Amino acid sequence: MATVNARQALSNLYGLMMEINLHRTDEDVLKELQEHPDPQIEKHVLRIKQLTTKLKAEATKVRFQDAVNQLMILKQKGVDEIKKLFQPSEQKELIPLFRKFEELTEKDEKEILEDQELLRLMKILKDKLDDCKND
Amino acid sequence: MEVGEHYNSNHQRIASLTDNDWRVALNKCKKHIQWRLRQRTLYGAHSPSNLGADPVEHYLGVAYEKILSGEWEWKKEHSLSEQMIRIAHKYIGLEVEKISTDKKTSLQIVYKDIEEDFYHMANAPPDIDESEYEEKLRIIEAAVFEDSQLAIMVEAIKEGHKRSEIAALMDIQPRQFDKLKEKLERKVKNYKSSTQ
Repeated sequence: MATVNARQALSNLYGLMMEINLHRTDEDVLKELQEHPDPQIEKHVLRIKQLTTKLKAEATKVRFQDAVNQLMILKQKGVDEIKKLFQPSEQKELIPLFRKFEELTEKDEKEILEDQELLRLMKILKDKLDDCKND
Repeated sequence: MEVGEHYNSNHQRIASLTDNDWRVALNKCKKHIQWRLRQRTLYGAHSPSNLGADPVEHYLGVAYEKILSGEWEWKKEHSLSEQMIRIAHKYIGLEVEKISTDKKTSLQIVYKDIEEDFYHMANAPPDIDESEYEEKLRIIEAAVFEDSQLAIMVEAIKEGHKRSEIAALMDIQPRQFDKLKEKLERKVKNYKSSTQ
């Protein structure tokens, strides 16, 4: 047999094994794990839980930092200047939210992130400012 | 670890996963990595010294970390197992490319048909020793010599046929064909121990 064929044949075999593995059902896999418990898998299940908790804390931190950064940009621009970006009809709808925006310094991290209306306003403002930059 | 752009959408699905969902995905991904590494070792990559860690452990960690962090999108059309396999498969390929080209490669390439890619042959380095592979193939052929069903299977594999094609050739369902894999592994294992 030609040498290239041996390597190609083995490569085909390993490819086939990958394809068969991909098609295994959940029931077959769980049955196998019941019959032959795998400590490596259990170790990773535990690590996934730890990592999920850690990343959740990190995501909250990032979300707060993004909100604060966005607020800084908006504050620098000034509320009156921002209002000019909107049509009078839009302004009417958003006036209650603008008041919240002006009171922001009183709020702490938890309150900001739990205030869905405020986050909605910040998203609207950010989109509006991005649109202005792109025009 | 940093939070990536797909964190929120990935975690909407992750929140509903059970431990058993993770166990299934980890097990299938682990098996895939083992076969993929064997395939890639045909081209001289993936010794533990290349990675500084056990390769299976390394790529298994990469597969779920990318989903948990949101660096990779968990596509809605893929199961958790399939998404993890796609990630591990991709990173193993990148490691080979890094070794063979010594260049950083883009992570943007997506295999549309991953099953097709299982059979993809990379270019072999010119100085590779082929005798080891000839010996491995010889052992497989000798192990199935007296089993006509497995002999047909091995011949079809050598010709490059895929799972559904071989099942059709043998006139059996793909799920029945999958059971032959265990028989083949058992035969090769028994043959090896009988000749040692």
